[in-house]
Amino acid sequence: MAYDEEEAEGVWIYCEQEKGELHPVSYELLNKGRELADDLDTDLTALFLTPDGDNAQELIYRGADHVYLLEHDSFNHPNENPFRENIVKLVEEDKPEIFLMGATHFGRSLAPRVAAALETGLTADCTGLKIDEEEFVQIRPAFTGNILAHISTDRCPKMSTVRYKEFEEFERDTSRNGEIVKKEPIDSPKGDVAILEEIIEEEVNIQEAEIVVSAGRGLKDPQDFEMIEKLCSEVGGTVGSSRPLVDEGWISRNHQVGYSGNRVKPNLYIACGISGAPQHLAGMKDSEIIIAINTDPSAPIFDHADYGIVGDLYEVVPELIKQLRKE
Amino acid sequence: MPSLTDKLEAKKADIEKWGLDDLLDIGDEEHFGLSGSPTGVVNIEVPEEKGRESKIFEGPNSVKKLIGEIKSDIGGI
Repeated sequence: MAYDEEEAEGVWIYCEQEKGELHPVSYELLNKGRELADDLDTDLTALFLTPDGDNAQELIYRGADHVYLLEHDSFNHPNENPFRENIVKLVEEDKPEIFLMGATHFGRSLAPRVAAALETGLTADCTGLKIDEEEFVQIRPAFTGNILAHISTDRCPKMSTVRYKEFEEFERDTSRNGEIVKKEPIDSPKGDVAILEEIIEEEVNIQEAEIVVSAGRGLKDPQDFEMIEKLCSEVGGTVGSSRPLVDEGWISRNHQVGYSGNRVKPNLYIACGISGAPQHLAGMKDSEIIIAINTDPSAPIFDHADYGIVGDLYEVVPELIKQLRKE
Repeated sequence: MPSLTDKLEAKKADIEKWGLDDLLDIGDEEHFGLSGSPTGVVNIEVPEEKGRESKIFEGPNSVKKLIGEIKSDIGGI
């Protein structure tokens, strides 16, 4: 159950680890969590549920005052139930005021389960978190990024998720001191979910790409992604897509740029045959430089582009590849 | 994407509607909607968008012009 602010104390973050590697969003949460804890004059605690706790000390070097370490084999698989059960128990015992998680695939699935079990609120995909006159303020885009909403939660723990790469990482400091507290995990009832097989997805790190070349509805055939890929390899980029092509099954969702896909901030974004629907713009308008190619001179993408060519991508893209090769 | 027939079909579809009265077995009025939400919007701001020059090229040689412009602005792609 949720509890009142008067009985709540401390900032918690959940540290995600997959196959022995800490997800770097954890370092970003530690950095932001450190800032919030300092502003509230309280401690920062990292929750670490893992089959092996080798990385616990690293969390202290990265800003935590305490690490609650729960070691159990069930944390080897991304089955939310044992995580939820253990986290809820710890929260109810300790009553933190603020609890942050990364908006990773797993975090997005785990955080609402924890929030629902605790009957508290959850603010997803925050782009800013701050303490304003002792109040915890969560800032997130609303109405496809046209406004930023400042959100407060009326009970504790106040839970938020934060997308990867939204905040800076905490700089590693091996002189930091903290305590690692081993906690006894609850043995979850076996057999609720069985992992039969793990299928490795094609790895696309579009959020980390420095250059993204995206195609939209101007593309007429899935085969034509080859042309986009050619331009992509010419500039050393990663292929992106607007949502309709993903919905058509022409390319995997990992490539989708937009409000419901990946939000990207590359140094260069080339939009080919993308009109610039608000949902797409929300995913790429913070790119450093934007080049748009579209047949329609009144397409909204041109208002958000640094450079643009009005023309058919089937003529412009091959010409662009040719000219770049000449350079 | 929905087809025209899907859209026409949707117009005629019988949609069952639930109101508060149908949900009272779960919780009272305070449990739902704005009053039932643990989170609330306390303020809104309009994000500042990066001003872009939008240098748009059209017609023959537009690719050449574009590359030339980018070169002179930032030294190339």
